[in-house]
Amino acid sequence: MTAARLTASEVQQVLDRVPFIRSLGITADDADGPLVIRLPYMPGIVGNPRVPALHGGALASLMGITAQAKLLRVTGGDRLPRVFSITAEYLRSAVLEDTLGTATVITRSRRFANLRVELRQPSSDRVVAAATVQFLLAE
Amino acid sequence: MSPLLSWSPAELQQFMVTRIPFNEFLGLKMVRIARGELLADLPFAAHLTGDVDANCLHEGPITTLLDTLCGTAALTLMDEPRRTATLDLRVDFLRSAGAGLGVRCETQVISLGEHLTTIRAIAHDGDIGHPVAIATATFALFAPSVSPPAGAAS
Repeated sequence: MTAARLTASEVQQVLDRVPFIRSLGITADDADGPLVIRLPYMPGIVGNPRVPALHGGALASLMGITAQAKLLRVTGGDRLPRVFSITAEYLRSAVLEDTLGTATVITRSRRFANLRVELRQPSSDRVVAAATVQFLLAE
Repeated sequence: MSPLLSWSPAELQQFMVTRIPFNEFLGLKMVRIARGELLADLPFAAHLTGDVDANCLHEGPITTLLDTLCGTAALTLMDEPRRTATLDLRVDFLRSAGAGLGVRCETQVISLGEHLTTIRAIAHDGDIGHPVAIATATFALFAPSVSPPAGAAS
């Protein structure tokens, strides 16, 4: 487990400076230990009203942001690190609830980092989507 | 021939954006449809930016544009539309979009099978030879008029 350099509220301050993240109402919390990035449910993030299910693009956005927040927490700094690729797997339909992202640093060097992200929702323990997110780190 | 190909731009906008809340939230604009091809724009908007100083679009809206166009591109090759669900999506972010610029996305159907389809898409901010992002996506294809399994992703 990599030590945290930033608190959840310090991570939140960095997230809040990004207009798109703010427009989704995404929050950072570590009350239960690990950093949890929450995408609150709102009607605007639905992708298929007939299923109904959240949009895969909103989930991909949350996965990228969860990985950025986790990496920022362990590296420190005041800017989100740069994602160069995301490989997302959609495992289940995401129901109309809040969605919670957690991330694990798989590897990190001076220049690159690789994180694994999982998304879950309150009504089930099952993972709804997962992703590998790769970063190029600033010198 | 796919019924989508006979739609007016307004009908396409209704099908792809107006009835899909997150696409509407992002302000996607459908531009053109042809066999195996969809073209759409994500106009620049302040609430979609990823960096206040650089004033460029966040990766999330660009990813959504790529995902949503890929998911529908396969329908342009089908006589009877089927519901699709993203199974996996890989996006490479090659560079930031230009300051104050929107992006345009173009798709290409690579493979269309009975249960799976694989699509590529490219997003650029004016010069397709200098892309902002490229995507490869695989979608499940559900049988026409049959409800997908309860666990299927959307």
